[in-house]
Amino acid sequence: MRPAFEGWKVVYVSTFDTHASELSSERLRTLPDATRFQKWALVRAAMRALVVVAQERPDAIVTTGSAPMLMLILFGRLFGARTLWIDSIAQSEEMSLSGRIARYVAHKCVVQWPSVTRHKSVEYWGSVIG
Amino acid sequence: MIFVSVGSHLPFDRLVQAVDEWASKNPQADVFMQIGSGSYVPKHAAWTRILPIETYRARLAECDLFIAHVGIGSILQALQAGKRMVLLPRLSRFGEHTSDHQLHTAHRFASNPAIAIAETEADLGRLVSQSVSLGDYASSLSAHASENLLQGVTTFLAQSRERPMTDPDSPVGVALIHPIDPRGRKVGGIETFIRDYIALRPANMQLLLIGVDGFGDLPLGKVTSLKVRGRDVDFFPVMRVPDDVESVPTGSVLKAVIPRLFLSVLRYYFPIKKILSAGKYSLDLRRMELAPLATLFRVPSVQMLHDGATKDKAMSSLIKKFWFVKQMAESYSVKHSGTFYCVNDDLTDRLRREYPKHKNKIKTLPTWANPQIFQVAEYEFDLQVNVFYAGRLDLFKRPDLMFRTIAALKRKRSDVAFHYIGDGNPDDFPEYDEIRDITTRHGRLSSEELARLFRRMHVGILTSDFEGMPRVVMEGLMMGRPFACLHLPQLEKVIKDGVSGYLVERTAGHVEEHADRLHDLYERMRDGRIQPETVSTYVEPFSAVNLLGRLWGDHVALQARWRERRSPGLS
Repeated sequence: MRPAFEGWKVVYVSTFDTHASELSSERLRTLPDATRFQKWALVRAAMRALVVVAQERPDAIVTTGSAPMLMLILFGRLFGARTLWIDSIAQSEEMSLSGRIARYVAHKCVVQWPSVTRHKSVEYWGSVIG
Repeated sequence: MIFVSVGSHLPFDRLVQAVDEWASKNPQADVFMQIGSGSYVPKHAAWTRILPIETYRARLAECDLFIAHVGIGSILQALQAGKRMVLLPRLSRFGEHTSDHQLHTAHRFASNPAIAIAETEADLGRLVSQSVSLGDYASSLSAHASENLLQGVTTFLAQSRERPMTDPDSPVGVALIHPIDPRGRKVGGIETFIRDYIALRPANMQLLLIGVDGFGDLPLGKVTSLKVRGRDVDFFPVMRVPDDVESVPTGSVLKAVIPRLFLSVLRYYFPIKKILSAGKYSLDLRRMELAPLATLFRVPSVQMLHDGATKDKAMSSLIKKFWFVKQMAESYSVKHSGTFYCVNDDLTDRLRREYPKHKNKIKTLPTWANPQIFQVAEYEFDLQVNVFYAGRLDLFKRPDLMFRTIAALKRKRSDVAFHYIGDGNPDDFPEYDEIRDITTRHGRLSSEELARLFRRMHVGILTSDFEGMPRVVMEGLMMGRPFACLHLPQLEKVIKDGVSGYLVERTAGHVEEHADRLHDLYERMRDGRIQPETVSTYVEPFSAVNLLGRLWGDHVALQARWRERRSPGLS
């Protein structure tokens, strides 16, 4: 996806800090991982997402998801960022629950399989594996 | 080696147990598992909870077979590594994932010859035994997203840049404080910056310029409405400084312009405060020494740092003597400004390192050339090679090196003419003697006059030890004139060797090399290898409206935040 970020100052947010070595010049922030089964972890992730957004003040947020990133989109929007949700490539039959929520939260919501574009306003642009 | 990973997300005991059972029946096999947070611990295989990504990659690269859940990340990495894999989908009914999407993913990848999908644990053992002897599978997987997705995201992001921060039409007040008379003729970086600022600002921006009266005809401490390049500006002069006086100080600090300006602004504290409070202004400061004014007026400020001076490099003796003032001003303005802009990435990086707490508000805003004035122009060839430089002749600009380079070029070819634009005095430098006969001194020129002169010019030269984003280079490039410069890192963005100029490394023989490059650039222009349009494309990203737009967006955002903080409960 990197070519699309050319000309922007990019901050990456991941649930793993083990990816730091793959990002040379860019900065990496982390969120604790959480699923909807882990209520407290979700709350922690949400608080962390708020901190990250408040500190970074992004102009735009692009994410391929999971629940903690939904929090990032939510708070990012409150702070005035444009937000793009790219539903996970793992979702080849229907949108993820986070993705379905993201339809109402993010400015734009796209999926990575043409067959998943059942909802109005959800588009298929292509997938992250070319 | 067989490498097993359940991903690092959720436990997947069913997979771990199934592989462990297979390992117990195949004791000769070397199995290594990353089991995440599972509660089942393998008894017949080596294992770990989680591997650092580098080790993970290494294990994956050296394994003979990869066993995993149907995680998209695991699959993509293994495909990129060219590995065969046996995958077992996580199922929601066992609480292994939130949904059964791994079944769908498995379905999509089932036709891939490198991938075997196990439906049950029993199935898994059989597939592992089958696959383990087959070896690597060469795959051709693209590491990049599809073109359409990239295009979509790029477009989406471009729209984010154009997004107005709040209502685009609500009035915004910005007060600039700088020792300048907007009617004056100074052509330095900051002066031109401020004139562009006035001329190109959006219609809803009310601009108050607190400056100096250069001609002695305006009342001090009062607003005078002026027209600059056709745009209105409220000018509030606080002291008189004749326009033809160089602003580089040579005497004592108290005679220097900035401290005098500081005190003069304070003399008119109440009238200025009244204007600022009535119009909801934020301050736009070009000099760090003025930062305390924002605190005194209790308004938010955007600070810009234009020069990259460091103590060890040659510069005016006064700045060196009062270095601690600069240091204090820097730390004060970084801490108290709303946004702090540096003119190049080097400065930004240095300040972010020195003030890690404030690194989020420190950004880069390079200077630009005004596209309305500096338009691409065809080359005009006559009897001579016109080499030019515009700017001051401060020691750090290294006029000595510049003149020696021109002299070297003069020895190489007889048709060299050197053009100096600015009010420095080349006679201060003994190196000037050798090129006096081929030099034309144009004195101080307005931007329009400079643009007219540039049409006849061919190649620009720059020898400075340090610079922000040198204005003359931006303007020259914008008109299609290539530059040969001594290397400065920020110039790498706009100067491509042989296309829009040359960057000459500081080696022992750089004067000769520099002269060769000037010569070479001219020859390339003559035979059409360098075209003005191509040169100017290198400065397009630095167009004035683009860059100023970011600055103005900051003022709007800053004022909105400031008001929120001041009046909680409102809005």
